[in-house]
Amino acid sequence: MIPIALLPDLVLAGTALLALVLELVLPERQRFAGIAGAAVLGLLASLVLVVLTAVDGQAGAWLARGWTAPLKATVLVAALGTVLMLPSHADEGNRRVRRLGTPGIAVFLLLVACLGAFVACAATDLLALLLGLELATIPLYCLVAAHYDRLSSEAAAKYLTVGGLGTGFAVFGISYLSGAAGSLSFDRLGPALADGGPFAAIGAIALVCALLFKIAAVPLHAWAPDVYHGAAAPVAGFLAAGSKATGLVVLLILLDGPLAPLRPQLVPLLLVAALASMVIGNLGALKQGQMRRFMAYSSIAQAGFFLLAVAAGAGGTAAIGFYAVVYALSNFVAFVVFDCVCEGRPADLASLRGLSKQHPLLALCLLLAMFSLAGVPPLAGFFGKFALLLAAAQQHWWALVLAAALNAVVSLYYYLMVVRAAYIDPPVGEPPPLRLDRGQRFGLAVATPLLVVLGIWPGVHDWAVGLATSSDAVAGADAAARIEVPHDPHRSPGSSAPGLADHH
Amino acid sequence: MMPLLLNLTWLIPAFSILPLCLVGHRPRALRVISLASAGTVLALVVALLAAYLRLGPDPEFSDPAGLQLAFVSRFAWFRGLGVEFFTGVDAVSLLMMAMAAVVAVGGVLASWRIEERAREFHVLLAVLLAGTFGCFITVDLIAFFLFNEITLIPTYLLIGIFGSGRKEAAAMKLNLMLFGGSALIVAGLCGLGVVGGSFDLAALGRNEAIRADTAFQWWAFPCLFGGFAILGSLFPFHTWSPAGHSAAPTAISMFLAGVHMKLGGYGCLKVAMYLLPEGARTWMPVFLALAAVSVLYGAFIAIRHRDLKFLNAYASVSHVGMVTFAFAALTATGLRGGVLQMLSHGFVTALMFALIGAIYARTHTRDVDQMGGLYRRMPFLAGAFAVAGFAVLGVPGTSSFVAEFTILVAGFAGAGADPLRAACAIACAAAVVVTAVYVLRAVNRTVAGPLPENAPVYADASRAERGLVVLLLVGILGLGLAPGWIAGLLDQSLAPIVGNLSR
Repeated sequence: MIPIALLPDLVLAGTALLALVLELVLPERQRFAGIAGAAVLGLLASLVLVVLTAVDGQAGAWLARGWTAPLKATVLVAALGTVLMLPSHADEGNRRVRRLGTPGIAVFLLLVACLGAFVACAATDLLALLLGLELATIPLYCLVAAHYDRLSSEAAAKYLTVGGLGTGFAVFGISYLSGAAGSLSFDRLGPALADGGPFAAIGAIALVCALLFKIAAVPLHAWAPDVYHGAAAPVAGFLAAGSKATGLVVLLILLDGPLAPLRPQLVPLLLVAALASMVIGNLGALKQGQMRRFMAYSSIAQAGFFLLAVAAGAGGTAAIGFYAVVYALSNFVAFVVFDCVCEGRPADLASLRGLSKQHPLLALCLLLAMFSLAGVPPLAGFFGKFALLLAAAQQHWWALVLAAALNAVVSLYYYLMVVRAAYIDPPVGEPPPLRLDRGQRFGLAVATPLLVVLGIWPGVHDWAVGLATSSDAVAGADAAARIEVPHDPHRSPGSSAPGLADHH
Repeated sequence: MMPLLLNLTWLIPAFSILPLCLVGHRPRALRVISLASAGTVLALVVALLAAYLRLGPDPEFSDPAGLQLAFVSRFAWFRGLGVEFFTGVDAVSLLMMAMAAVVAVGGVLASWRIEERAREFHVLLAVLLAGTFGCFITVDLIAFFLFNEITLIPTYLLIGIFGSGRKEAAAMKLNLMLFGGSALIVAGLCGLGVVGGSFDLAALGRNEAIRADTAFQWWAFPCLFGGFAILGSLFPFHTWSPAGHSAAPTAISMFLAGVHMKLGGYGCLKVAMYLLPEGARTWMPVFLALAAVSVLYGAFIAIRHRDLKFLNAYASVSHVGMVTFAFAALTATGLRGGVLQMLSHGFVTALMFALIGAIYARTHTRDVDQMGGLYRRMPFLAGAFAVAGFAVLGVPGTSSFVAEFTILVAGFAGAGADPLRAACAIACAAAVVVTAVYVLRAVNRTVAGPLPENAPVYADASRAERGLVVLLLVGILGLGLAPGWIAGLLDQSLAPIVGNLSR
């Protein structure tokens, strides 16, 4: 029987295939709407199922981790945002997505990337984890490259190069880890790595570095500005929130499970990466006039905030889950507004001038998104960032908490510059008319109120906390049992690579 | 019932946004709604104050060693973070709210002429009011901090859109410096939450873990006190306030200088000093010296300024510095003097900014040298300006006299044994004289003397302006002529803070 927690993944896979089929079956005029509609419905269904089936459970090599639900939801929200932005990028004949090829293929690739994240969430050994991670990354290379112009080719080349480097790091790390522990399975890695020596530490560091690429954190952050700039807006939106959530969930799984014994070595590195990401991201964003590059630097800085809580361990899990959802929503709103304003204008902050007069509601959406990203109440970003800081404070990292809070001040400067362009600076010339299609309207109408609601209503945060604490209890019991019988072969039902383990 | 009325003080402004958005671009309807909302809040606060005088604190919180809270209500909120929505007030908060409500009504009256983008103005003002009143009634520290931060969004836009001069730069400076203060505060609050295990101010005040942890108090006190002192524009972190207050539109200058800045002093008192008395004793010499510099420096800079708004903004730095100076005495008299000064300065500076705005609307200049003889053209406004000047000066009968006298008494009380304290007290006493220089000169040059050549005929005060002047003067004179009952109320509410400080 299919375990109920597998349903969201199946729905995703089904929708991905359906998108390809619809592309062949539907008549040309309905193709675009049909595929986008099916994708939205599939993603929503998957989102509902993720929320409903957020429990711990195991089926063979596939482990459902309840606490990953908020991050899975983030990936889906980011993908939903991307799909909702697609129709505004339709070409004249409604046949293709401008800069992205046919709608069926774009949606297929996007959903496969989501599926990759889900596979990684359920991994019980390092190979499955790598498989999921690659599945979540390779489709994005295609999506970034899909627009055949110089910018996007350059972006894709950079993304592929740095991504390849990341994958290289990951494989290298995995080889060292498996060599040190004699197994790829999480169950055995944990206890074996406790006295794994330098190889275990080197492997763990290499693997973590690979994930820093995924979340666009220093030192593997340099791709972000160029890729966000070169890729189509919907894809850049997914890269910011969806990819980040994927990387975060994998980091958490690793640090919570197999790499837990190596935490003392990894935490200082994570903290350095966190602080460096905040500082470099914030300083980079200060002088960016180009909106997509601006969002890229902001995303690097936010990655630093996330890493702070990743390093804080179990206390940070719920905070990361909640803030990831909030970040995806805020980011989506910002990207839609930017995308809409840049239609027929250069993608500079100067194009925002006079927006509050031209389209007050759109300007309000942008205002709320910016203040949410900056962490100003009553918007959701406030409690999101506060939860991250509190997780770090619980480790008594006072100086880091203060440094992070001061970084938030720097970030407020550039978010305010956006607000200033939209609300205060006088417009230059007669701006071209703004067009919002149904997808964008629907997306903004849902996401923008949520930015306020999640800042006032604690439901989603309580949900994330509930999942994290219930999983903690389970994981804690597991870990205790595991350490007692580290080499019992019957205690690894999840090992999907028995052959490799058997060689030793 | 009473807790609901208490919460209505922020809910009414918050929900007034709905009708404000619905009426569309009709300035008249917008300001009527705004005035109705501020007026209702004033009535509510007066009713609450009357009820507090009759009923006193809730039985649960009537222990004289703990916070004397009344009208308490608490709901679980962000449970995972240990945050509650916990509201309640003591006499200090209620009196501050009364002052804030008077200034708010005055502010709406002062913005009677705003026509362009009026809807945005009134909506943002409503958010500012909601944030400020929320701040005064919350007992949970995170909710308090949240309301404090809410005021940032409207402040930025109100100055940036409706201000004058270098408004964009001023708005940015103000927001960044205040947010910087908030960064310090949030680090301190995280520390309090982790060490004390709760964000409930009433419980934290009697928390043994915090009392015992002197190392924690040593670093958390400068974070919290310093963060709130930035909001209270303490030297050298005062630069945002002259820039911001002089660039802001009249009503916003009134509210920011009169009320919003006082949230800093309020936080210093009720969070930093109440919870971290050990830190307060260690760090007070530093803050005492900074306060004395603020007082003297603000007064001297004010002498140099010809622009009335800058003059009053620097005068504010000087007078709010007195609040920190008073707190630094760490005695019952000092704390009482500080709170009295916060109340008094709220009324006085709001009146000053309102009158400067009214004069500017007629003369189209704020330069002292280009004005003169206003008494001949607009006797009511000019007379009110002279009275306001005397109130800044601290003439007996006005609220400033009561407050500054109390502060100087507290300042000199321990000065015999401590040379730093003596020097600071002398500096603050000297600043009162310097104040006389710039106030008398400004009043003299604008109100008296000959009219400048070709001066047009100015209209005297409108009905709205008369209303606001009378309202604020009632506050100033009420506090100045009958301070006894307020002092008694304050002492009762300040007792737990004094108790913690003298343990």
